Amino acid sequence: MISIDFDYYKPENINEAYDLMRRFKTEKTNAVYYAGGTEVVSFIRKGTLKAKAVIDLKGIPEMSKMYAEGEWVFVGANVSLSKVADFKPLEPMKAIFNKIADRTIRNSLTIGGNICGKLAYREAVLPLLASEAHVLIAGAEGLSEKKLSECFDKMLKLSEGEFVYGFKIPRRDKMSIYSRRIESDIPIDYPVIHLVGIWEENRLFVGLSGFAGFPLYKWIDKEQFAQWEQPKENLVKEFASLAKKDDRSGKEYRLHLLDYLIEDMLGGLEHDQL
Amino acid sequence: MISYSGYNSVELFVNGENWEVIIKPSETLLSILRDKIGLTGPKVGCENGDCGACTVLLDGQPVKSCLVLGVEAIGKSVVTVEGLHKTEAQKAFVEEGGFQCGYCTAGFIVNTYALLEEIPDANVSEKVEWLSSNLCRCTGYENIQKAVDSAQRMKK
Repeated sequence: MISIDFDYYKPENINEAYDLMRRFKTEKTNAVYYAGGTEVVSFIRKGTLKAKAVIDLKGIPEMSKMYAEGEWVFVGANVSLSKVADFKPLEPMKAIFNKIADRTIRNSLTIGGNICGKLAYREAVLPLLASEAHVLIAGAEGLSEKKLSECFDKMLKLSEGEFVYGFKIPRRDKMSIYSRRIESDIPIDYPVIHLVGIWEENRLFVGLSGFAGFPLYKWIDKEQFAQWEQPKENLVKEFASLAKKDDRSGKEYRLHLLDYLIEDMLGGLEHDQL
Repeated sequence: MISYSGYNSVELFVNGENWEVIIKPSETLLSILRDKIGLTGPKVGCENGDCGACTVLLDGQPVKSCLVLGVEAIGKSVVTVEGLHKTEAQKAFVEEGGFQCGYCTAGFIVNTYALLEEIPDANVSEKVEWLSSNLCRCTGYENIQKAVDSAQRMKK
């Protein structure tokens, strides 16, 4: 049961949505963009989000579309993670998306909501960063396109009133992906650590969710990697200082898992890629 | 632009029937189904999207109704466990005793029904992927598994 009242708006285009949010900001009314609802409803129910207005972006039809066009795949921000995972042109990333929450939640949870949410995990951003996806942001000037990596630092950097319209993901039929997620309890829980390793022609992407208070990632050039005498230790060193402690796991256990998963990932890497 | 504030009289399409209900935007689909329409099949469990006891179908897709606002269901088709009377999924859970205390059962039946509608030949990993969305706190998973397998056989 939700014990506070709020108003509900469902704009039909990006201008309506943006103008509405700006109006609420001007009026100092606490408003929130809404898509799948899995995070917003939970937060409002718990009282950690005190919204007086909810702006449901699902009334904007283009934001629920997903299609492949030439070298790109467009995924609207309102597409659910279960649809993204099942979309053939994104097949190589399926294993990562399918580890997030559970199937029924993924039917509601949107890709935009997962990446823009307040929760620290934002696991869906890792394969998008690895594939050098672009993000389409709706704002005062309409739509603008940016490289996701240029506006993602711990979280997606958006100006006041802006929202994510969709993502353009370079189409790849093949990606060599390592993805392993470890939880403290049941598999549908948030991750203690989710490590994603993706091997490109000349570089290695390593991304982490759940390990720190925000998603982490690094690119390592193949040449640099080849010079490392102790690749596992070097990779662990890249992330170790950011290990967090919370009610799911202590710092030491996270560091142990990082060490273990990097070794596991490199085991596959030696055979396949280098 | 559609907007709702305070109490509104709206129509919801549930289990093949139109229901006129008076709702606020802050009411979840779960509370409307139970408290305003009287369908108590969907259960109040964790209210946090973890347990799956409140699972219903929204335009054919299983969703956790504790995390859906009632206003989002306007113009869509909602199916609760009461709408799955005499389906293979319901029969199989009865015949295989796919429950202990029964609190989670409605969610399991709705999800099993949706799974077999979408993937009639679901393999073990697909069944695990779909049904790990539902928790049985009595840990009666063995008979739940038998019920899902049995429902799949009945559908063929």
